[in-house]
Amino acid sequence: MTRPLLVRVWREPALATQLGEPLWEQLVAEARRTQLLGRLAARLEDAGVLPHIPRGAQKALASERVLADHEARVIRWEATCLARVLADLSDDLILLKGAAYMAEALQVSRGRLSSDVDILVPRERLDAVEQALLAHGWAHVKLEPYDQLYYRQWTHELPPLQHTERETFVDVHHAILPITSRLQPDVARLRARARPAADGSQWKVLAPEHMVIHSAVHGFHDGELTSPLGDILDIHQLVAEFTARDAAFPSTLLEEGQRLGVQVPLGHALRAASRWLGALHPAFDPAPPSAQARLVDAAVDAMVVRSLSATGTIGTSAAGLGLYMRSHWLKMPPVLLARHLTVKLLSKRKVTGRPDLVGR
Amino acid sequence: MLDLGPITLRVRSDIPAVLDGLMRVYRDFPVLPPDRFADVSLELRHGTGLRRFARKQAQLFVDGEPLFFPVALPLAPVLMEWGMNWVVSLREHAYLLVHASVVEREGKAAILPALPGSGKSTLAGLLSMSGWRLLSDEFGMLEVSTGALRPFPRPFSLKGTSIAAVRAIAPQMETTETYEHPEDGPMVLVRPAGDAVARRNERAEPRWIVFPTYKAGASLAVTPISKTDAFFEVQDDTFNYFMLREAGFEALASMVDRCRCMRLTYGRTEDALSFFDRLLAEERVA
Repeated sequence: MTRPLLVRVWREPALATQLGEPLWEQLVAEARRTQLLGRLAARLEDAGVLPHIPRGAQKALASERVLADHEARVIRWEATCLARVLADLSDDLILLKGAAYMAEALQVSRGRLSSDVDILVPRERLDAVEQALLAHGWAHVKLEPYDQLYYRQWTHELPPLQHTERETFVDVHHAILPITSRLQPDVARLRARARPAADGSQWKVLAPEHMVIHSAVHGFHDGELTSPLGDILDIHQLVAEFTARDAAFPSTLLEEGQRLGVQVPLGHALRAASRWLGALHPAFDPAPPSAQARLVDAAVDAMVVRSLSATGTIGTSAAGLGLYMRSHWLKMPPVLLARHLTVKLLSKRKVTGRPDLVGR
Repeated sequence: MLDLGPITLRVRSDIPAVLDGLMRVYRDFPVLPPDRFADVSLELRHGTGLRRFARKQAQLFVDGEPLFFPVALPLAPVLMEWGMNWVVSLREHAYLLVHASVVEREGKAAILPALPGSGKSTLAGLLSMSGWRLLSDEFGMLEVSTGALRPFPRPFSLKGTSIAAVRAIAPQMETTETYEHPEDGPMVLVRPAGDAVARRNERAEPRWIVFPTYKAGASLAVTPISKTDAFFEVQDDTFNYFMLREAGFEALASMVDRCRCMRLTYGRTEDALSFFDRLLAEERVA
């Protein structure tokens, strides 16, 4: 397999200095398409190669850093606002994903775009949290009765809430996988091991091994892999940084995966990270454990390649549809799944728009 | 591959009529070798599938990804401008991007912030055909590092009766073919006049902020406004002010500081044009 340019440069930043302008144009396009340009900029900055690349590319990367820094600020501010509203309700508020990576100042957060804040709250506080948010400027955006019912009855989160002035979204989770899912990692264990965030805020974050596990089940079990390379990059950067801090981390991670019963999606995630971005640790077995796992690995690879090529419309491709079906299959019992897909199919509405009004 | 000044643009199309139209209004821009880095890469293709036969349409692709809905062929050049505006507003953060038309004379620039229906494009179009240089139609690009306005003199669009109003003072005006928009009436893109393109790297000092309003039949009325009001009104119509943080504040504050700020209501072309000439004369005296 020839690796896509973006992957090659990520693995070997020095290569960036040898690319001519046409290849740089291709590289920037690949990174924009996968929403990884900000992360690439941070990576190349750390490698000290930015002064040695074409001026147009420098400009593109610098602008993207301005954008990514801005979005990071927006997310951090949103986390602060959420803490103010929710602090009285529970002393057990946990930040997840991008906002947590930022609060911990992890490598993975550099240049990473997060579109919303994800939080984990105790299930018994879910109603109180929702009421508090609705009373303080957040509102539901999914107003169809079926969507509301779907989230509340079958998933692990509230329907997304948006702040009416700041327009940022918050996803309020009470577990890391839908309640109908065949895997049910013990959320109490995640909560028990959570720790205060390094930024000194009122938030807690998951233990390092649980951060990786959450990212893995999100991308490789319940998720629809909408940004395959980004998800893989998350896993790779998290594991690499945690391993550098603590040599015992890989074995802790594998043990914890077993204990929580998520070794399958964790395996997919770790193998994908090693295949695409370089071996992480001898403790991780590069060979898929079963024929089925091999098929899923191949589907993941197809998704990565497709997401990098122009007009890669994820969801219409066979691999994309396959993974979408699979992720739903794993999340829901068959009868519920059939009902869900029927309702979704019937409710597909035609979109319209005025391009001249965009961006105003 | 074209050198537009602040950006390099790659345009591709499999529709000869679209390329012809674009060349008519873009022909002053230098063509660059195709192996140069393109800041923006646009492609206009025939609509795919059955659409292609049902109705002649063009679909815009930005860096290989479809953007917006397909439009009728004669609207394709305008679609490309919309696409470029969209991309530039998301990407060019070395500048504070103000939603405004900008014209220049003797190194001094007038910023015409856009309010919907204010006719800023018409006014900028008129001025650009009357001795003023068109700096930009959609974006005031205020360079954060220098505080100067960066020209971005692309073909500008005119709609409805504005087309005739500008043609009346500039019969030689060159445009794309007219597209009859079902709601907005006729639309064209206009080739930038004079040396606007040749001087695309020549920056200008902000000197006036003029909020224009066109009112048919009205006589000329000018109301000075405070710098504070001007600051907040312009800030309200920027694309990336908050993204730039202190640098954005500094750039905008220093621009407003250097400007005379006013509202302008006009009903006749010649009133507006002589008003701007008067502004310039006052500047020469001062």
